[in-house]
Amino acid sequence: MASMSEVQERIASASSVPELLDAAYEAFDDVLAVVRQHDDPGGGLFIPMVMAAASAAEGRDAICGAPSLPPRSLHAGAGERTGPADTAQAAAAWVAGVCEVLVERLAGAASSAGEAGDRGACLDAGWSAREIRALMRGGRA
Amino acid sequence: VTGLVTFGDLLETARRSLDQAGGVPGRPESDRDLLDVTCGLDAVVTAVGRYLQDLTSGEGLVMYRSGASRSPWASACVQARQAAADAARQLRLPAGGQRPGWVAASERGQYLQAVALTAGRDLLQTHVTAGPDGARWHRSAWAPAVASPAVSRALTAELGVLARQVAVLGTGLAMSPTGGWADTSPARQAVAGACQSLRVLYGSVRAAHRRDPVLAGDRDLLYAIPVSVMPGRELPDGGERVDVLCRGVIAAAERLRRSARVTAARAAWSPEISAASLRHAAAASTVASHNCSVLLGSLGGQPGLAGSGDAAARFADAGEAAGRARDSWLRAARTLDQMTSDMPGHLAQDADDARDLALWTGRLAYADPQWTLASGPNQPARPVSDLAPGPREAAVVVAAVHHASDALYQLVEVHQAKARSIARGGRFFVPTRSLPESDEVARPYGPAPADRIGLVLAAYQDARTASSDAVVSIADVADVIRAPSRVLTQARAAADSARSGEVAAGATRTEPAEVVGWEPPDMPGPVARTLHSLGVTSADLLRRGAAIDRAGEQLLIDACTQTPTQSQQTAVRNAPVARSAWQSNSPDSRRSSRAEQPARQRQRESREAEP
Repeated sequence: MASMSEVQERIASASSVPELLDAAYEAFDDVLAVVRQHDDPGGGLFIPMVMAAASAAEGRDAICGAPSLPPRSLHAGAGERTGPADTAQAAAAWVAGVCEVLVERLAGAASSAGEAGDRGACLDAGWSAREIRALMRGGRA
Repeated sequence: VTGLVTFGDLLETARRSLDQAGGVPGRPESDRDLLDVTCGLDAVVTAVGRYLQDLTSGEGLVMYRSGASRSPWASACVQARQAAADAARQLRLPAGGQRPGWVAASERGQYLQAVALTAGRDLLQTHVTAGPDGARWHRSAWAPAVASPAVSRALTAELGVLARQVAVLGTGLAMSPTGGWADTSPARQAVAGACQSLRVLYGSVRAAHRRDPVLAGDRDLLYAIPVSVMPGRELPDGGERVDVLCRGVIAAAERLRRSARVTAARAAWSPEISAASLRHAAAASTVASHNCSVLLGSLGGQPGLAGSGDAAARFADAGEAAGRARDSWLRAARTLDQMTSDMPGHLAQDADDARDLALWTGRLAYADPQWTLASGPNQPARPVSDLAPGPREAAVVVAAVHHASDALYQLVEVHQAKARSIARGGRFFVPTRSLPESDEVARPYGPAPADRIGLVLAAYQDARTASSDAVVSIADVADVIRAPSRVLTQARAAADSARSGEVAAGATRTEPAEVVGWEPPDMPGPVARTLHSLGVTSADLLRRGAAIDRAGEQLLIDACTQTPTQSQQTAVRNAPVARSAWQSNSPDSRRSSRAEQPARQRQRESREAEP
């Protein structure tokens, strides 16, 4: 899995709607993988992690419904999984950082994308990212 | 604990009203007063008759499921209905029929308006109703218990006791001022005759109780049946006391039960029957189960609350069972990570309600009054000194946990069925990107591989088993600590016995539970009342009069206890005819006659049939 800066960079640097959708899809998938690594009932962030997983899958599914999403990943390293954080707190910070960028870019695309389906997908996925961010930040938006 | 009106509340109110009617000084002297008494008794008898009609018609409450039933309650119900019809007919004779526009003019008449009794029947019917096709529909999770033989027996018994109370009251009121039968007006004679029919009703019930006793637990269950209403959605604001939080948990649990039932009734292709709904509900249920585990751990760690060592062990067992339920819900949620369905984005109400339940249980479980699902890390549990300073408070907290776990079990039952129906309908999909490169699918989603679907279904099966175990363990704790939620266990047992056809084997029940010991209050019978009215003060005469009254009552019970005679069998065969007295004035008479058709064949559970 890419570092937070790499994931953020990929989202931030997307220069087209398909590129953004592709990066967002990968990001939600990464977020889902990370929160699942830390949803142990004995973990300090068990409850936010469990709730965030449902929202991450929701965001990914929203992006998946966008007509401009490329059928296969544009990123060569997609699907590689290595844990980015040892602790739940570090994972939460990683996830919150990724979602921060997602919220910003998806909000822009939700108003500027050419296709209505893309706009709707970005809007829905943006809501999911916002919710995950709040969960990872202890309720702060 | 729930704050909802129960059937027991209304029955007690009805009894109190009859007591108050009996407590009004003097006897009805004028025709107007007598009309009030007649109409009032008619109202009470009509209400009793309608209950018995429900019990015997198969629409709503079911007692008389099968003509081959060996339970004495089935024939007792028919006899009682006949007796109530006889009473009603006699009360209506003097004035040529029921007086629909009657408005009580006297204080006594106002107590006899049977408002609470009628409301009690309405309350029961908020759970069970007839659908547009005439079939019986369960409208709440309580419905199977409401329609169970156990509750039907208890209700019939209570109606018998009530009939006796009315008979005693009416006999006194009908008595002529001179005490002589020759001086008694036809109207007073009619009331006296109706009271005699009510004594027969009571005799039928007592006879059935003698052969197949009503259990105290069944009566408690009847009393505890709440009105079926959807509680309004409320969220905690952070300032709630523990008892308020417990009520909030119970209300949230009830909302979840009801929304799960709505989900159960939805068609398999409904957009709300989706992987997203299942996923969100599974996540929230994981959290709610975890919070229940935390609460049980807090309570069980306090020796003074848990009581004996055995009780402490039960708390520990229940906490572990809730933890296993949490783990199984979590596994279900994980198997849904890569799943979607054909209409993503639609969430069912039960997913939101499960989330609310997670929030309410969390507010109760943790020390932070502003706790949310985003709170972390390592939230300290609420100190037990605050959660439950004594056993009484602990019982209320256990009741809240019991309601929460019961609602989660009902949710998993529904969601397991829905996961199956999504799978059978080919509506589980996975993102194409999650499939191997070789699986070229032109669309963003492809059909979910069978092995992934299998994992989902297996996880739901585990979650159902673990949730059921958790409910059983928590019910055990509720029983030990005498939590008010014990009624949930009784309701489930009653529903289970109904499903297993227990009514047909009524006489063979062998529960060692406590039997209802309702000895009616020692109210003077007709002979004793007559002696009183004649001014007799001799203790010997009054004693002999009371003995005659008791003997008369016993004679009726003995007569009803005997194997149904030819006349009784005729009464059973002609039961629908006896209903005419109600139907003549009943707004639902057409529905009743329709229900007379093979209602037994039309009964069915409201749960959605598995496709």
